[in-house]
Amino acid sequence: MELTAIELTKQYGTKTAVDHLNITLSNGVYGLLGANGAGKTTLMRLLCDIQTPTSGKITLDGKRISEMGEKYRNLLGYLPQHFGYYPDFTPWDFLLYVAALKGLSEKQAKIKAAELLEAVGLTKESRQKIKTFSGGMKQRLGIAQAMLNNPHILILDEPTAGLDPKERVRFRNLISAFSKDRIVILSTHIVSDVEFMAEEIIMMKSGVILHFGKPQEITAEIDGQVWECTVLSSHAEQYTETLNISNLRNTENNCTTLRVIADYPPMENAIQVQPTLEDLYLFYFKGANE
Amino acid sequence: MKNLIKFELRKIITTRLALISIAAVLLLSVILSVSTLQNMYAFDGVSNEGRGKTAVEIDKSIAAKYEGVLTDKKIQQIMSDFKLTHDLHGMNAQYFYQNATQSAAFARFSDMNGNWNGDSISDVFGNEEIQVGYVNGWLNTSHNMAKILFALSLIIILMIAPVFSGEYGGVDNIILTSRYGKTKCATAKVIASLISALLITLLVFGFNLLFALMIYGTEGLNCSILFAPQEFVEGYIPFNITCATVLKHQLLLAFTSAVSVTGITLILSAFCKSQLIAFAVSAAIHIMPIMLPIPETSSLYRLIVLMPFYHSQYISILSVEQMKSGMLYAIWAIPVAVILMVIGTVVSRRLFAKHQVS
Ligand SMILES: Nc1ncnc2c1ncn2[C@@H]1O[C@H](COP(=O)(O)OP(=O)(O)OP(=O)(O)O)[C@@H](O)[C@H]1O
Ligand SMILES: [Mg+2]
Repeated sequence: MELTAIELTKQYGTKTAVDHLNITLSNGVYGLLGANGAGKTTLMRLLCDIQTPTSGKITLDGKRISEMGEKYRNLLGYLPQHFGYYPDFTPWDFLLYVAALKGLSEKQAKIKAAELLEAVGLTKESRQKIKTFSGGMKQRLGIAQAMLNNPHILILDEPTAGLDPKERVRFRNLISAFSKDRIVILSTHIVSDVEFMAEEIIMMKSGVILHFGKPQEITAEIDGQVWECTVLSSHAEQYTETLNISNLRNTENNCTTLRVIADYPPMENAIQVQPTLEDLYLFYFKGANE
Repeated sequence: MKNLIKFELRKIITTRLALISIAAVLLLSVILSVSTLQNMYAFDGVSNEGRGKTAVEIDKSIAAKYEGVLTDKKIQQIMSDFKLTHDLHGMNAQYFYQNATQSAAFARFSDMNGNWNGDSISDVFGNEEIQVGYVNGWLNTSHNMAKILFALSLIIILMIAPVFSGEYGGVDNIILTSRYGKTKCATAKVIASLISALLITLLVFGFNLLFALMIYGTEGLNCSILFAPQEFVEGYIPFNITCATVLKHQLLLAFTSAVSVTGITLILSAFCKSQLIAFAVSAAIHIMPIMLPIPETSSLYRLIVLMPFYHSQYISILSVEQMKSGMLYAIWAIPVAVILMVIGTVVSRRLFAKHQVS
């Protein structure tokens, strides 16, 4: 299966959220990385056919998704970044409702709902009203509803937001087990999430794709540009202003180790280190939020 | 599909607001019926006098004496049976009320002082055969029902306004990306809205009917509305039809009102981004005809009375001249309701399917 975006553009007034974007996705897990406002949510909504592109098109195996209608949506599972729910519904009711929308029979729906509640760890709370749920519990319910129809294309907008570390691990395992022969796209700010789960990374900035490739491949881009240097903790502050620092860690003797991204060694005692995805992310998005 | 309709029905009917409103309109029905009954008064001209249920009994037994087709002789009889014995101090005797039968006769056949005004039955009613009986109870019931049905139409708007707009708060994301979200789901919403509107109309109408049946019995249902107390003479339906006919038309109009209101509200629900706005705009559109200063004599009036607001305010639409076939003009409310519902279905489904989430 091949999901393709061709010259995809979405404008809100004068603001271009997705800008002549071209990409082809086949089976695999894709991690969509980008700063706030990069256009991740917009891209995902376009892929879900719940927003109409200003220009360009999206096709699945050559057919326009907007024309496929029910056939396309039957293949789709979507977790919105923010989603609504019916406060007086229980997760059980909610899943049965979404299952009905997805065309599952009542019997299938019950089996699948029970299975997914178990998978996201909500079995015990399944008869409690959703309005009593914490943010992370709602998020897990959202993940469960997206997977009800065993979608071939699973689009998750910041699925790990609000999940505690234990749930995050559970989620990773769930996705890894699920993703075989499917297209899974997940957006996140948490680089370590995609590092573990995604086979391919899509880096997005201002509506365009900066980078698309396997994690090892794309970190190769900044090979030789990541350095670690140790400075006195009292001086660390002033370096954060002048250098592009991806991480800093206090060490003994009142010293701080800085992880710096730079073309040349930033100071004499700098040691060259292996770049990680996190470094790359910072390399691209330095100043993105300023 | 059945499953989806069940879910949509549940979302419409079991909200706290909907349940409270339905309870409120039933309570309003009881209050109106009881207070109407409490305010009833009858004096049989001799010794019996009473209010409330007693008044109903007195009125019924008086009506029974003149039962059957109204004749000039009966008019004379009533006029003399209830001849005024005291000075009215300048009040018009037509407005003087001892009991329902007396008021009905005096309203049309008395002069200022309570003497016969010289009109015969054919002068007043033409060749119509007027069945006399105790119609006061049912006519009051249908009067109250107009108020209740108006409240009901607002409740229907309240219940249906969130059907689409309520999803725009975030569930739209999930619905519109699901297989049937843009198709069967929208249809299920429309069907569930219609079912809810019809069901609560049936409930409220049935409740009022049963309540009235308990108080007034079936007497008078087959009698003409033309021989009724003063308050049902001026500005009331001018045709020789029975109480039952009025109620039947009112029932029909209650349903056409419910259906029409559903159609209009669905469109606004799919159009407006917030349920509050959808409610306010739908309610404003519904009430708007009151503000249109169109006199009954204008030819536009016949169109205005077809608007859903006038379905529940039955007197206006039932007062438009009868059609050649002898049918009441009010049956035009049926095609109006059907058209509004069809437009509502098509447009709201389209708007919802094209909705851009944000
Ligand atoms: N409905 C809208 N109307 C106007 N502008 C919008 C709308 N939705 C998004 N935008 C703009 O489009 C750009 C991309 O937004 P988008 O939500 O896709 O970003 P994102 O990458 O998902 O960000 P975040 O990480 O914060 O979720 C932003 O500048 C945003 O202001
Ligand atoms: Mg986003």
